[in-house]
Amino acid sequence: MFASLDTSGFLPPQASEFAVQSDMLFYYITAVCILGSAVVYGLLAYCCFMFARKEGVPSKRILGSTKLEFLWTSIPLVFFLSFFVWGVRLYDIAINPPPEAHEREYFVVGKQWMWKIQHPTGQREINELHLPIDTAVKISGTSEDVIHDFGVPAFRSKFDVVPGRITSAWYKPNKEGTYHLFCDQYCGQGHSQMVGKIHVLSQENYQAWLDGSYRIREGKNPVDGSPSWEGRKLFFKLQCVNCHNKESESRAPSLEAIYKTKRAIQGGTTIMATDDYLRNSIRNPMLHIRDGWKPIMPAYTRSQVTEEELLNVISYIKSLRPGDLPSRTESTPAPVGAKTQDTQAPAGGN
Amino acid sequence: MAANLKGPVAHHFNNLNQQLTTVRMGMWMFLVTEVLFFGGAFCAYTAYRVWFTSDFEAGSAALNVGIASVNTFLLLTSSLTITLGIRAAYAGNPKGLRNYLLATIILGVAFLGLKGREYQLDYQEGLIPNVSVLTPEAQKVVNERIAKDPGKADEKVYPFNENLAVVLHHEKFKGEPFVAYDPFRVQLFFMFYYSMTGLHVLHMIIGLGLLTWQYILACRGFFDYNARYVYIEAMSLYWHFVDMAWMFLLPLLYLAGPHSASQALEQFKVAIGLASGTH
Amino acid sequence: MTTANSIGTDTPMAIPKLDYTPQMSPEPELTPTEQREKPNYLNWQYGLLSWVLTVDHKRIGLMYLVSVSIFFMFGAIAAGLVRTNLIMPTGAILELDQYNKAFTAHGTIMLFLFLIPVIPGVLGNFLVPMMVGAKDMAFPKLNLMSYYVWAAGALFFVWQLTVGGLDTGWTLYPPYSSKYSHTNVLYAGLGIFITGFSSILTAINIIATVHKMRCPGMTWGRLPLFVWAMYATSVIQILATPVLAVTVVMLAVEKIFGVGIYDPTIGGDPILFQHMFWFYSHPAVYIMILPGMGVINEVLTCFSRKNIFGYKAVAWSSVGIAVVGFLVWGHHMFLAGQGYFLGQVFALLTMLVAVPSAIKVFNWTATLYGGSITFQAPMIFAIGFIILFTIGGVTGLFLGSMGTDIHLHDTYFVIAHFHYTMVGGMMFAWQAGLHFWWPKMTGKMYSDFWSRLAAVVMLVGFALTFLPQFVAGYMGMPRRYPNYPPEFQIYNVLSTAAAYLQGIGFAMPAFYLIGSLFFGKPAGNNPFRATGLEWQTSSPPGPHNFESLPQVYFGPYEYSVPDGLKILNDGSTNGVHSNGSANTDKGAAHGS
Repeated sequence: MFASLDTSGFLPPQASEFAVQSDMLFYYITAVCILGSAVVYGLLAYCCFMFARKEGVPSKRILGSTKLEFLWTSIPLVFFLSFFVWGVRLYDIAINPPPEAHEREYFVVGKQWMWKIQHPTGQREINELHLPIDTAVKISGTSEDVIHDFGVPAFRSKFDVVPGRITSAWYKPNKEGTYHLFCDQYCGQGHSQMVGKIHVLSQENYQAWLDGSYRIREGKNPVDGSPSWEGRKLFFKLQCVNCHNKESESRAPSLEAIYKTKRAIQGGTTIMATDDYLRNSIRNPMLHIRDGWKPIMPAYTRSQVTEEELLNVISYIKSLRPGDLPSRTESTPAPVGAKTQDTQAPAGGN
Repeated sequence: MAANLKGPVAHHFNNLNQQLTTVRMGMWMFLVTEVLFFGGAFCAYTAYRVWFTSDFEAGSAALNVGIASVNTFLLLTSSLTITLGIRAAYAGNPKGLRNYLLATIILGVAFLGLKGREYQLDYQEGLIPNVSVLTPEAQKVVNERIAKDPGKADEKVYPFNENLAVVLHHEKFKGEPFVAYDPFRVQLFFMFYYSMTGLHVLHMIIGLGLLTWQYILACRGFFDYNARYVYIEAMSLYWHFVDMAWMFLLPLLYLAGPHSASQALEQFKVAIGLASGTH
Repeated sequence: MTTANSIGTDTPMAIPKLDYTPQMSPEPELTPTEQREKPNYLNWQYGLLSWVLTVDHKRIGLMYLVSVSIFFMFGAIAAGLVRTNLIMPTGAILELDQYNKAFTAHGTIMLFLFLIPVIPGVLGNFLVPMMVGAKDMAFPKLNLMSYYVWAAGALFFVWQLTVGGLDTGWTLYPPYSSKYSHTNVLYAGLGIFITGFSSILTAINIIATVHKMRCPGMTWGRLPLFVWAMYATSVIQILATPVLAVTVVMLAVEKIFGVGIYDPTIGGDPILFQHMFWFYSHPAVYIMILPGMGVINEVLTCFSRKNIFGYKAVAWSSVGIAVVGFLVWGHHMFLAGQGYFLGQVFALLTMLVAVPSAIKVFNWTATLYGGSITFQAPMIFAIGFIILFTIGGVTGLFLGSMGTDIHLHDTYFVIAHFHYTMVGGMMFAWQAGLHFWWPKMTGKMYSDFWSRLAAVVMLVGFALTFLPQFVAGYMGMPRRYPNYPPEFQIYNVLSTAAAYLQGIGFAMPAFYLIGSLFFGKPAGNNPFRATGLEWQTSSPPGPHNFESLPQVYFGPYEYSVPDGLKILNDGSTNGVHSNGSANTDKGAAHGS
């Protein structure tokens, strides 16, 4: 079963751009550490041989040397700071997805003891993830219960998924193959069972995998079974549309095209509308109240909307372009597969 | 200062001065650990206070600031009495020492008594998360709500949340209803309230035990050697720390929400039975 | 307390010729008759109560030794279960739940019941008063209470592990520990809470002793570096341990009352637990390693017959580690979601805290230069320490540099790193200290051959156990996995095989050390010819340590200055600075 897994030698496969960059820093630190250790071990061995006890040869009285102290304080410090600088830059790359990755966002929900993964086009997988090669993708996740960690050694990437918040990472796989997916934060009995496979496919193969369940998005409403489609249904079911709708400009702020823009908050500050911001705005709206609006939005608890559903709602909000906000009197969206433009009445009527 | 001090020196010390300074240092080191202990709790509380400001204000409004105010006065006075006790021990005044120790103990016991009454009132008002049941008044409110809208009969009722609503309804500040709050976050506030005041009470009980022990020793003439004043001093350092912890707890917990002096007085009168209130 | 300088002989003693300078005049060796008549701390009082109610710091140290060794055995058995299970990718001997309980038991026992108390409790208690020239600790009764509190907490904790087990890992992360685990988190937490008190009380004692009980002439600059290390450790203990206590209390309140500060379902924050937990637990690892580093100073100088290279640098680096060690806890949480900027701050400070440790390693190696080295067991352990701690330290750099930590977090790389520092570092330092001061504590000498062999077996066994784990970790094998993909099997098998060898190595001292009690030769006052105050009195020491109040004229480690006693007696300095303070003389030997 694991024969297809791509492993070799003493290093895991380098299956993403980031893996190559991460390994370079690793080699650098290794080289410096081997050098430093060699100096210490060399000196140690030299002293143990040269200064083993000999009859009649007394020990020297050496109390110290400020010059040497300075030398072996500053040289390690310089090297350590270089590790810091390079490490921070590497980390920076790891947490800042390129713009195109935001278009392809995968969602993962970890729960004891499995991974539920959802493609931006709506397909779902359990413990497996198919990705197209040479495409930057973002992956965001949360947990339903305890803290887990979505770890892919071949991409040199992992991130904790924490209940109560959304965290994310991104990859650009550059090598076809099948790679390990591990849970990398102890989560109980099935921690070691919570493993899976990441399949990186060529572009054609990825399309082929998607065929049969591929959706097209037309019009201003998602109709394709994607997370946004699910999210739109919830937008109505949870009565969000009562305040956030096309007609009312005074009851609630518009939600069109707000993702990754700066929002003015009461108190004079601004805040970036990230996934976490959107999530908090629904779970804990009193945390950041938009400047110029009354604090009347109720908080939605887990009993009202689960984490998975919340991801879908957020996905819908992120998909709203100017003019996309529904009217209060609209109801169910078109069923999956319907090729409707929204100038027509949606199938099923108002 | 050490010139006219007399007292036995323990076997492992070289002289009296070494013994005195060491005892003092030991107590200071211990208090450092206590600062870190309470400090950890304060830090966690502060984090949540910053994140959930309005909810914590609501929770604080539900606390009995009347009792807290009187308790503050009691505790500060007890710190005074024990400090006077040090002086008495140093000056070789055993009767004064006994009186001051006794006064400190009495004031401390009074504090605990009022604190116990406060906890009792909290229990009566049904403000213990996940433990309390609905108070009669809250039950009435719930029944009215269901009567008005039978569709809500199936909704889960959280006793603490209902009880809290009743209490806060009475705690209108200058006639204004309380701002929107999340009762679950107020549960968090109350969890901090019980933990932090509970830890404080525990420290007070230990302190009172030690004070009683010192009082008994004083009655037996242990402190007739005036060099032994240093143990009273060590005790007073601990007692002052307990006092200081309270001086931080008071504003953090009790003064987070709006209160007024008349409200505090009213609460205190109810607490000691001079007035009957809805509390 | 007698102030006489002799023990009752009338003839003036001939001044022996020493090729080193002890810190004070050594007390004379006793003849066999005198030994029988003059009691030492072991035999001057008999009976169970004299041990149970003792306030003698030396007896308390021995009590810690026995208890800590027993708990070490439990922790080692747990480790054996873990490693044996890992021979097979599908788990060889344990079910999933059992494995989780086994690694949790191993971690908690080794950390809380062995690594943290061992050197402060055994060597700290026994030696710090003697090294500063005092008759006992500052608070002897508190010392005894500290032992009982620890023993009670430890027994309670181990009982909890046996009746229900604990399967949260030693890190106790919520929400797993607060809501989802079915084990005795509450009571186990209580056990840890109780043992924490002991840590605090011992630390208070050591700080007060070092500040207030130094004998005349023992300035801060003349303190053995072991005392500096113990002082720094004690400062960390009193500042960090209470935070763990309050964290565990909050977890308990959460479990008991069902409201929580860590429960995300009602707005709590599981990351807050991580912050509070690691605020203690990172300084805790410095509590573990600093005393070990202190021991190494003593052993290296004695067996190379040389002064420590850079006394001030080593002393201040201990303080530096203690201080900066409080500022780096977030490097355990780079991937936890603590925020990018905060992570950068912690990463920078982590790189800074690595510097004092590097300074120490260079200073120790330089200490050997120009020395006159012999390789008895304590020295083999000490050199092993330098070798292994270097590896442990540099592998920490990979983890502290945020970028590489992404790949290495929560893998076997981390496990190998901390075992290299804690076992290869601390454990080896403990063995060095135990073997160095065993003759002082018991008056008996152990087998030179067997002790050297044990040291080598431990060194080889340990190094081979964890080297494959670095590779497995970089390959991606996660930690706390009872089952794993088959390609990792080779590393696990190698590691387990070496672990058995290591286990044999750790078991060996039990035999020859206990054997020495019955069959060992009497050690004499100063078998290793060391300069510290504790070595100038009898082995085992008398009940009050010294015959009379010591008077110190020299710094520690004046191994390369001969005729020290002549200096003391005729007042000449012979080229040695009689203020004895650590000076920054360069290079050349002074005097004859």
